[in-house]
Amino acid sequence: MASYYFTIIGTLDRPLYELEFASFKNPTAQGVPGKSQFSASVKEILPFIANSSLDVVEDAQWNSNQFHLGKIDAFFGLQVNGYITQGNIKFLLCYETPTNANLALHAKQDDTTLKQFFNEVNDLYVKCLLNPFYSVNDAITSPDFDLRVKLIVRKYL
Amino acid sequence: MIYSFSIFDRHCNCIYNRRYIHDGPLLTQSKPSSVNLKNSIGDPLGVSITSLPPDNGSGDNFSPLGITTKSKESGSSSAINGPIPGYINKYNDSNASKLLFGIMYSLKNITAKLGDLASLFNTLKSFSTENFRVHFMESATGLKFVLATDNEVDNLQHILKELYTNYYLNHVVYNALSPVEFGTDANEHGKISNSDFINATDSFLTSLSVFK
Amino acid sequence: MSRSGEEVWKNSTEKINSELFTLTYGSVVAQLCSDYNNNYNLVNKQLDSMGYNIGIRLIEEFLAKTGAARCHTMKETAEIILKVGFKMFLNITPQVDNWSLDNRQFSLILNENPLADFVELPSDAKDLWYSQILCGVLRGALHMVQLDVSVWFVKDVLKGDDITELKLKLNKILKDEVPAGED
Repeated sequence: MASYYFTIIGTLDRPLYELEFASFKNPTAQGVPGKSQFSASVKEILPFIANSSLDVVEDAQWNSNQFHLGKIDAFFGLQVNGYITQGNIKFLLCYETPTNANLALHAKQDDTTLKQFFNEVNDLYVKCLLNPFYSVNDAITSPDFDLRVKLIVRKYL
Repeated sequence: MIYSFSIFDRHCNCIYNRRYIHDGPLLTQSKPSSVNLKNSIGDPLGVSITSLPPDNGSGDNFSPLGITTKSKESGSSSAINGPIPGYINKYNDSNASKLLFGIMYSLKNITAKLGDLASLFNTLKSFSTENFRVHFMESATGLKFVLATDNEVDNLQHILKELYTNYYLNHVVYNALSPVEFGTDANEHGKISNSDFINATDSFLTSLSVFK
Repeated sequence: MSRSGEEVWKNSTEKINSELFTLTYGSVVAQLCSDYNNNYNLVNKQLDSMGYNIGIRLIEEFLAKTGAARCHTMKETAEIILKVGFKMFLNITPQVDNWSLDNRQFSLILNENPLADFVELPSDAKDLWYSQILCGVLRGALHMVQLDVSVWFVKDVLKGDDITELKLKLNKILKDEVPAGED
């Protein structure tokens, strides 16, 4: 049951939305399904890891014509996947490096599912942008958005 | 022959008044009647004929029907407002206009009462005299479209409808900067003065076979 | 001869992308909110008067295109508003309900509202009636055909209500104006 940290970073490098969660697949005995199990020390530094990978995103975006940039960074046993929208908004997903046992399985589903995950979040983000009361770089506080992200999480991760 | 075209709004004000000047002799036998009108209150149709004295601007020398022809002595230059000779929005508040409105208003009310049942709706479409015919259409919003012609012209309902649904709609209603309420004050109401409307209706009316 | 809303919608209505329309209206409302420092009562009032100005023009287009004649009862008026008016301008057909006993007041129930697609109200916007412009449009249009009415929202799905509902009440039927000095 891997733990994830997902964040949306605006064009001014400020976080607009963040969510911590754990995979709903292969639930283990310990913990509530969906509740992340990052240790307290890792929890603390998650936003920093995400932010520090922004430089890498900015480099990576010129080397690819895809919005999904794939695995871009790794730090302290955490991997970072990135996605950049047409509007230069970054989606970052940090997760624990899988153990050897499920590495193969993980690598296989990895790219395609993450890509689907990001694409759906992007659709959601665009809908959010269409709300006349939301403007770019505002924090996303809509409970509806939150709920829908969680549904997508449940579907893919 | 079309002599004039007027629009009255629901506040009874004349918001558009266009008189066309026709060349050549017309109404040869009707001179007595138009002189008669001239001597009393002015011609509500705005009929003006070659023999009338040059316009002095009061508007009351003119036919309420707006019948206007070129004044030979004075030349027509002063009368020409644009490519089509005539007067634009010059006589809106003249007694002639008010008289025309009054005629239409009374006739409309009488007409409505002619149908005895509520289901039998009777509306005024035109009235005619020996020499003139006046065509009338009112929208549900109280706009009144009036065309004054000679007696040769038969039915202009479709033309009035066209003026409303096409020209008034496109050049006044859709024109966001043009008012659609022209003020409620009888003395200081607005007029349709935008040139698109004037040019479009002019070319539409002059293109009709009944115009000349 | 009057034409049906369906026919006018199909044949003589110019259409634009509905998202463009929705976003345009949305940015107008959002801009008003920021211009009035989120004083939502003022925003409602402003939307209403904008709607009124639209209504007094729209009625001419409506009459010109449909050729509708004067209605004799409020029931008839309601029918025309719903089946022809809403249909030709917004391509929706609201339901009519809750007639008062004297037949002077009724509810319009909007099953869908193209103005409010994508919209999520800010949490402090309890007083905002997002689609208030519709009230103004109806008021303006009916005023021009001599009906003095009040129109207001009672429910809006944007606020978490189950339906979007407007109330329309006939205050009085205005008399045609008579020329000055003729009473």
